This record gives sequence, C-alpha cells and structure tokens, in this order.
Amino acid sequence: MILQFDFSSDEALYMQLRNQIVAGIAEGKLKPGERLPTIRALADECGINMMTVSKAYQLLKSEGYIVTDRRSGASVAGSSPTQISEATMKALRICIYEMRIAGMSEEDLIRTCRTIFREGKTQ
Amino acid sequence: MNWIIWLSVLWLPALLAYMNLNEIKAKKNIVLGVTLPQEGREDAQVQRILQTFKQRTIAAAACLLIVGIAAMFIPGRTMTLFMLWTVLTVIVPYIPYVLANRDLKRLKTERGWTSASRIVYADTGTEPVRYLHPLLFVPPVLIALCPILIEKGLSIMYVMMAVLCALSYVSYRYLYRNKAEMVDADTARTAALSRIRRYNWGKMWLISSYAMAFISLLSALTPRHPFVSFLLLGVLCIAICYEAVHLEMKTRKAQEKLTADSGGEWYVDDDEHWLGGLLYFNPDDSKTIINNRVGMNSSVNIARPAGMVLMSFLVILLAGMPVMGVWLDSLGTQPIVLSVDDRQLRASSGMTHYTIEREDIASAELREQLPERLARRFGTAMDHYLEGTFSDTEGAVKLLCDPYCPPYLYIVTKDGKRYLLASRVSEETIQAEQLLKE
Repeated sequence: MILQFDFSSDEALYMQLRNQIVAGIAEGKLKPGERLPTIRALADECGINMMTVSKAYQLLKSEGYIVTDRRSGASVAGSSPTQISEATMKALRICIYEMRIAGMSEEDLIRTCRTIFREGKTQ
Repeated sequence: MNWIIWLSVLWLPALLAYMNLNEIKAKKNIVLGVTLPQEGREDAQVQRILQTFKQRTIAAAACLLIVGIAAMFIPGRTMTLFMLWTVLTVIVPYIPYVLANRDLKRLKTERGWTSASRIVYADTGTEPVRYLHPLLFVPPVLIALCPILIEKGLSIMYVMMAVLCALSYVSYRYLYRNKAEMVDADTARTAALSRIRRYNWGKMWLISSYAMAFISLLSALTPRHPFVSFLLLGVLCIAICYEAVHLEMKTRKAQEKLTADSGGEWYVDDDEHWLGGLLYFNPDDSKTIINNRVGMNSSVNIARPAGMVLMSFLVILLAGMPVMGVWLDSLGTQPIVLSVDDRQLRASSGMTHYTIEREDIASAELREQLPERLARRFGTAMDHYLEGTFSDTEGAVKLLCDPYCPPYLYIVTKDGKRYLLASRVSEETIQAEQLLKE
C-alpha cells in the first residue's frame, strides 16, 4: 500500500498516517496480520519525525486497528474494532450536516455513503 | 613530475562527460534531473534539448582537455594552473547540465507533466534493511596495521591507514539514507531497485576498505622497492577508480532497465526539491544525508543546517584550491633557513620547523648527493622542495631541502634519528656545518 504525506495540508501528519491506515484496512489493501513498517523505517523513508509515526501508531493501537509487539513491530490487528468511537460518530454527524447545508438530498447522501462503503470491498 | 601530476587528472573531463551523457537515458523516469512521463521521453522538443546538451557537454570536455594539455607545457606555476584547471573541470561540465535541466523543467510545466507538490510517498511493503556485518571490515583494518611490524618508525601512518579502513564502514553505514527506491506503485520494482542500490553501495565501501589496506601494505614496500611500489600503487588506484565508476554505471543500468516501462498513470516526482537537478533543498525532509535519485551516490539536503555547513565547506574547499596552488608553487622559492647557536640547530621554512639539540647530535657531515632510492612517506615532495619523512635504504630520514641546492647537512642524532637539511644558499649550509664542528 502506498502512503502519502501532504506537507502543505492543514491536517497533522500523524492524522494523515492514521487515516490512511484505517482506509487501507477498510479497503482491504492492508490485510489482518500484515506487518507495517517500523517507526524508524517509516520516519526515515518519509523524512518525518519518529515521534510523528509513533503518535499515529499509538492512536491506531488504542483504537484497536493495529497491534504492536516488541520483537515483530506493528501489524494490522486480526479482528477490527466492533465499537464505533464517540469521536467518529461526532465527525460523521458534522459531515452529514455539511452535506445537508450544501444542498445534498437524503437519497444522494445515502447513495454516496453506499459507494464509499463498498469501495475496496471487491478487492 | 609536471607530467605525472597532469596525466593523473587529464582523463577527468572525459569521465565526467561520459557520466553526464549517461543521464540522457531515462532512469527511474528521470532525464537530466527532470522526471518525465513516458510520453515526455519521446517528445520532439525534449529530444532537441537533449541533443543540445550532448553537443555542449562534448564541447566542454574537449575545451577542458585542450586547456589541460596546453597547461602541461607552461613552465612554472604548475600547481596554480593544476588547481585552477581542476576546479574548472569540476564546475564546467555541469553548466550544460543545469541549462538543459532548466529548459526541460520549463517544457514540463508548459506540457502539464507536473505533479502535486510537497507530497511524500512511502510503500508499506518495503523490505527492512539488512546491513553488511561490521566484522567484514575487520580484516582490512588488521591488514593495514601489519606493516607496523616491519616499520615501527612509521606506526602513525599505518594506524591512520587502518582508521581509514574502519571509516569505510562508518561511511557505508551512515552516508546512506535508508530509503526505498520508490518510482511508482509497483512494490516489487521498488524492492528490486532498493536491493540493487544497497548491494552496490556496500560492495563499493568494502572494496574501498580492502584497497586502503593494500595501499598500506604497498607503502611498506617503498623503502626497498620504490619503483615497484609506485607502479603497483598506480595500478591499484586505477583499479579502484575503474571499479567505482563500474559500480555506479552498473546501478544506473539496472535502474534504466527496471524502470523502462514506468512513468505511466502515476509515478513519483520530487523535482521541485532538486535545484538545477543537482542540489537537494527540502525543508520538509528532516534528513541531512540523502540518496541521489540516479545511481548509488549520496548528497546532502541543503535545507538542513548541517547540510548547508557541509555544502559551504565544499564550496570553500573548491574556491580555496587555486589559493592552495599559489601557496604550493611558492614553496619552490621559499627560503630555507639553517641557524646554529650554542644549544640548538634549527631548520625552518614557512610553517615547517626542525629543532635539534646540539648535545643530541652524534654526527654531522656534508653530502653532495641525496641518497639513492629516496621515497616520500609523509610530507611534501615538489621539484624544488622536499619536506617531511622520507625513506632510503637505511630507513626513515627527515628532509628539509631543495634537491637542486647541494650540499646537504646530514645529521644523525644519538637516538638514531637522521636528518638531511640544506639552505637554498650553499654557503649557509657549509657555514652551519662548520659552526656545528666548533
């Protein structure tokens, strides 16, 4: 899976990394048990601080998307988290509000959600 | 000596032209420091720019060669001309390169071949790095130290050679950025390119370490067989240069072959960080040492303070070379002063000073000729200036003299140290010997 970091974006680099790994798992690009690069390797690769990568991995671990091991490093968790966090639900609510304000109909919103939900499912 | 100095570098313009002309062939989608898509490589305007670059590069190399050959025949000021020519040889070949890079970048923008800026990519499938084991670098260190058993007097020199052997490992390990050679989304291609680069990089430093060890061994041959040692050193230096270029070209060839079909829908493009296609400037990158995009060499990120310091040091070094040439030429006419007082014999010239206590002198005599098989071990050997530690058939001897100004004052101290000292004015040397006898 190709990760990309946009240095001109307002979004923090650790969040960019976290979101891409979540998207990778959802789209099936990252399989359960698949090893992720070590913190040092990924920081070296992208020229970013090790703390940035570490922060993203910590967050992913606390959310249950990845597991870390002292010897084998980080890998995608065998089972995905079943609980949706309050923050995610809050973010979804804001997204829906924004779409409603933009004039999107309920049908269009559901169709869009369905398309996104099915992305990568066939992979 | 003039001939040897010039012949040792006159091949440089041809080599640099060869290396630069090789950049015309697309490697990792990069042509002359500019990332181009497949369609861009066959573009007629691109081909015209490349043709102009080719002509300019060949013309620049020919001019440098002609100037170098002409300078060989200019008497005097050898080192000034040599240094000036070397600086020009390092700079001039890159002028056509930078001009072609500028034209290609302009064309790239016009044709819309540019990609999003300030984005860095990483492949999660990248293999972890396996470095060469440090123990592989231990034998050359030990080989470099072996001559100490024969020449204890020059232990420092051999220890320095051993340190250089060990430094090859440090360079191998730390002058390389651990970064995958990502060109596009093809993970297998990225892995193959990374492996080839790492393999050749390690091989080069391992060869360099062993070569240094053999130079140390050959140095030990110098006192007994100076000509054979000189000849073998020459052969070894040629072999090292050949192998370094060979490995670089081998890496480039592999990069060219493996990425021949890349540059389609999506490919990595970080041209905006490469000034003139040569200097890396990326404030977003926390690394100082970075990998050149083509080949296997390293460079520095001049957006980092340490990178800027390193680059400034290089510029100062280049700018200082002609000044150093003037200084080296002045050594040939710089006075060599011999003075004797009640307690000491002093010989000095510029920054070199030898002081010998008179009570330590076992014998002092004048000699009309320098010893046969005299070979420099540590110091300066110019046509009209010999300074430092040399060796002859009897072992190490310290020199400070002009080989064209006999007689030479030959001093042996009670602890067995030997000196050959002479002023450029013969009378001064004779007077110093007479004062020592009083």
